[in-house]
Amino acid sequence: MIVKQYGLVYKRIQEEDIELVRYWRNRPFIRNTMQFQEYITEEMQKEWFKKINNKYNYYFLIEHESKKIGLINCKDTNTERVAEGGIFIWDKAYWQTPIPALASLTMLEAIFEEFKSGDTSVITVLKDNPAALKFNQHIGYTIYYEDEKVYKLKLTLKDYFAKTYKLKKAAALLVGKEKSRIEIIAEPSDLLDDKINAYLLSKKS
Amino acid sequence: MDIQEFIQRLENEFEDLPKGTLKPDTNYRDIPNWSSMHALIIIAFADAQFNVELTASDLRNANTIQDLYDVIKSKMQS
Repeated sequence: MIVKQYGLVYKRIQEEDIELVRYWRNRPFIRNTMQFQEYITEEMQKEWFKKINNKYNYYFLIEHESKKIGLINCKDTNTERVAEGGIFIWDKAYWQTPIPALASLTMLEAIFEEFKSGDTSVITVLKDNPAALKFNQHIGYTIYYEDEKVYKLKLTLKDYFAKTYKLKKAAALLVGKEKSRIEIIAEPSDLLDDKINAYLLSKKS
Repeated sequence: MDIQEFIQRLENEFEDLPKGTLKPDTNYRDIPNWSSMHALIIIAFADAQFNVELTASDLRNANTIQDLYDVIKSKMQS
């Protein structure tokens, strides 16, 4: 599956991508922002891929001008209308640019507006990462749980529409109307949720 | 609109930013907990408040609040 919007391309990860992801996921500047902070071995990564290569988990490489710059995901979609999101950008040159924000907006638009496959998105943010907390609050996420280490936040459909309206308009101004349209390229398959398969079939007819 | 009024309006956009945080010479990327989302908020702010379309290169070339003010003002006049 390939998704395109705002000049970025998202390609669902394949087995041949997992070593690249593992390399960056193990870098301390990424690992330290994650809940799971142990070093990930090649074997662990292979096991992980077996667990996530199904219709309930969607991990995409983020590409800008054919350069792979990070990973974005929507996982555990088997929970009733709720899915967990996550993103990391390993290319530091992009951290201060609007690109991480654009990637998050695209993933949410695909789930909430295109596939209509969920009503709530949840995320986990480490308490020592206030920039990530603020980033997500700007999209409309609100804290529903916290312990000494993490915040858990959720985004409802209502808050998503209320908070992202202006951001999406700004994104369109930034990249131009043509590039702001979401494009989804995929064939129906067993690796896709029923809602997504139905969406793809409806686009064909 | 002078720079002080511009700053007041911009601080309102950043919700929990304490009033008086921003100065004309503040590098806007040094705003506490700055993230890529703030860039979109600034673009939305310029569009909604001044009917000005900021480009990616406008943002790249602007470092301070004064720079942002200047580019928005010049686009309002053009």
